[in-house]
Amino acid sequence: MNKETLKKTVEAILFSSDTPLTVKELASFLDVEKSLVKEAMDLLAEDYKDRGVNLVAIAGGYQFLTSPNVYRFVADFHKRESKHSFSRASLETLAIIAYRQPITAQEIAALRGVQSVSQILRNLLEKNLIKIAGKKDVVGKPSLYKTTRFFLETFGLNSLDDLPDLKELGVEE
Amino acid sequence: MEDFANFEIEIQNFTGPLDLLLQLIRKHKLEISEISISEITDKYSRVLKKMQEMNLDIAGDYFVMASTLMLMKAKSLIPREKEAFEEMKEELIFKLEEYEKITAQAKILAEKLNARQKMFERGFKEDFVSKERPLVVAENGAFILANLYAGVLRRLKALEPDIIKKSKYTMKQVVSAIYDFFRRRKKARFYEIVKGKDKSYVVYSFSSVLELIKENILKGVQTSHFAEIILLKGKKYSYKERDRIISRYE
Repeated sequence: MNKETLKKTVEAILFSSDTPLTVKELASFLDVEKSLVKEAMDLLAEDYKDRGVNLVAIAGGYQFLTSPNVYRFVADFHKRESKHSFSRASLETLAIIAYRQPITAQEIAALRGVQSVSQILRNLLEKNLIKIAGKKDVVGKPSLYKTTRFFLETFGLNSLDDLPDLKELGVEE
Repeated sequence: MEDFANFEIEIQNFTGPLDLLLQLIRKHKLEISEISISEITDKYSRVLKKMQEMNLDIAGDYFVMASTLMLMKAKSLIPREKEAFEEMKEELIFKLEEYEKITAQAKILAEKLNARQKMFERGFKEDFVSKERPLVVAENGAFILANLYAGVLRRLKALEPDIIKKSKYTMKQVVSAIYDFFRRRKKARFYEIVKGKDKSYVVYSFSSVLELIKENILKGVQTSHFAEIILLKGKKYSYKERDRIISRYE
């Protein structure tokens, strides 16, 4: 497959997908070098930079998303507001898990100064934003929680490394 | 007293006692490391009292913190408890500083979410749940189903007196009805099967469905835990199997 065809193919597959696709997934499906797929994606991202639809790096992959510049019109057209809403308490819990994973329920509760976070955890599990990733090797073998790939997608993060450093906010780590 | 007016609006926004403390500290532009326990205890107690007056449903956590603060305040007045007091104060300061970081992190997430929500993917109008991969009911299926069943009951708002009486339904009736459902279609939602029926029918249907899943006559699929269950014909779906199941209850 020549580069021009590869670029078009990658564009078409990405266009037809409603979830982010990774370079690895596409490379193994198309049976071409990862570097070539990455190159095609980067070229596409550049092509789409100033369009109504952008190719965005998200959850370790790439996805076509409408441009935030025209957000208002798209949202109004579909009569659609924010998709997910979170209470401050659940956002806090999610932040703790995101920044300190893997972490147990008890550790989360202690950090938040509350007795129990089980209801919130259940809710986040239900929403597929967190997952149980093994047990901690202490008495009682409590479950350890981690964020999911879906979490990255929902928050528009490419990877956990994308979470800003607290120093940027003027808070000492 | 002057801060109560503002607090009334914010009061329901506390996510816990540490949050309340932190907001009090910020409101008075204090440094966490330099708080006066005596002063913060008084302020905290006043807000808590105000919350009680407003008849808010206050979690026990707030009172635990209030008593910890009061204990610290008491210790601070007794010279020989000075060391214990300093230790407690240090711990509280540490907790508050940790918590402050968390609120900053939560803020980052909120901003990220906000930015992401300004971009739409294809088919974004679909439900949250429908995007997730279906989850075939496994060993913990019964637990998941039990929770689901509780949800169904809530939804049906079935209000029946708590008297145990002989049911109007039989297993035979219910299993036959489920089979009738599948005569016309390949899949059904559990909710559809019991739609418009009373609580007792729901209970019968639910245990029948569990039985049918166990016997591989039906297959249960869920998009996520506690989500609605979708029923499909299983490997052993046949009228012969139906009669075999029914005969057990005769």
